Amino acid sequence: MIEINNLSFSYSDTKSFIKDMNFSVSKGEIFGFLGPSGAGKSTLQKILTGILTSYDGSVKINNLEVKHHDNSFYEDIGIDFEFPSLYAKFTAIENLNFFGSLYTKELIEPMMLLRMVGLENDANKRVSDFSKGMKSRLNFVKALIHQPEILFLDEPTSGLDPVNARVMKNIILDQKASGKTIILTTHNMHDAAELCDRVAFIVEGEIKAIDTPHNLIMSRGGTKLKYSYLEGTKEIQRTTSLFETASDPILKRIINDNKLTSIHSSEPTLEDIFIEVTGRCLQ
Amino acid sequence: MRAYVASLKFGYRQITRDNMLLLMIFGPILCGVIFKYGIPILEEYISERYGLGKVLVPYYLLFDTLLSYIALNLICTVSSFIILEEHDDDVAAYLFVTPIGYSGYIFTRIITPIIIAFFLSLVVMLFFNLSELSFPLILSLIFLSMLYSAAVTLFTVSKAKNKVEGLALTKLSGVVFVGLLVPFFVNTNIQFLFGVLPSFWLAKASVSYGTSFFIPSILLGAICSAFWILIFYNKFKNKLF
Repeated sequence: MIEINNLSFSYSDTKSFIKDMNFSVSKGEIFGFLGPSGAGKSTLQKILTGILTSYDGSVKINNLEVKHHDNSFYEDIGIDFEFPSLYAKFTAIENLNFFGSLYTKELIEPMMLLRMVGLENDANKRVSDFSKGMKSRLNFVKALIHQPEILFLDEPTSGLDPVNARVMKNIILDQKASGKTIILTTHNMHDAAELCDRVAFIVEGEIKAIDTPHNLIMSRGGTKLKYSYLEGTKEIQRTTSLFETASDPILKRIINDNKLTSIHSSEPTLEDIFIEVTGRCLQ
Repeated sequence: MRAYVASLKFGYRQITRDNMLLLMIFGPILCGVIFKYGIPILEEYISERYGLGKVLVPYYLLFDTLLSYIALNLICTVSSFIILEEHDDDVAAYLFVTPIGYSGYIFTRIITPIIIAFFLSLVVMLFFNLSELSFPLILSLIFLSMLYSAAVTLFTVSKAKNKVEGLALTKLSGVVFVGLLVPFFVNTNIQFLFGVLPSFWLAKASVSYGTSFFIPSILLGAICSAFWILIFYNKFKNKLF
């Protein structure tokens, strides 16, 4: 569905901002871009959505080279920018009706969209009177109104309380279940680990790693087992891989000798792996 | 086409939600009525009150030239305020990734209002001009005013960060009006120092009608406005992306 080959992009003539990227995204996949601010995630999204067309290499969506797109290209694309893009003087329902009227495709009933994110009682309220979280939710469902095949979501749960973040994540998973392809840009490794089939770690315009969250975690040793035991009067702490517990002679011995004082497992997060691979924090 | 129509309709709805914009839409006709009927009354009052001869009549052509620009500029100012509000709400950037696209946005928010303003200005000038101008002169003045208004619109939307700044810049761009007075009051070649201002060529075309300098004035006026349009269009595009 999305094919990127040898993609490079520069804002100036001197330095490449996106460097030789190669990856593909299949239909029905949730693909995450993870990276710190300024890594090139938003630029990459702008290239994929046809806003920036002066790139080198190839970017194909549904076999169409994006730089050659016409406006009908957007009939099948839904975008949820990080910051709400809504008419503040108009009500929620007026906003959805207007944005829906731009498309020729069959639309989802606006009231149904508002119900999905708990805004049905605020349909006739002006957006200027909405809280930040309400604007985020309305902005999100605005991207769904024309039932696009590909969704670009930029920090969709940013600024939301846990309950509403859960609602949004469930909608994203429902969209995937209905066959939509989703590109998720985020700082939030918990969202990425939970939602994405695959993620790409992006730093300084380059992809440093690309795989499923599970494989990335496992590639670095996976879950660790931490235990401590008494050696005389001294307490000693050790760590071993969960998959090597049977071959750890010390662990075997102290279990037999009843010297174990504590034992627990710890799983690295996607953020731990990101820091290990890239040497950078996500924020 | 569906997206274009929807965008234009919504632009109209934005105007109806804002009393200032709504008033500005009727501004060209209001100005026409004031110019057509107010100025002769003022002329009569000044003559009677101070016992002077005709004070304003020699400048009726200046008032007509001004009217040709005001009518167009008011409509273009409305469109620039809509653009600034859409920029404020972050909607403009979003519309570029809908079936309207960037080209559709420029068409519905800049080109269409200018075309509408052109015809509205034509009607206003035909009905409300003071000097019984000929049709070719009216058309020429509106053509130059159209390019001049486009340059001012692009100047406002490229420089202002929001509607309040837009209002201030619209007032500031009134300084450029000085070029309108020069051909009427300065007879030496010093007047051409104001040739960088589109307003100068608008007035120059007015005073040159019937002379050999009429067509060159229109051409130079068009080139002058095109120059400013190009500069501010690129600035506007950089601001949007």
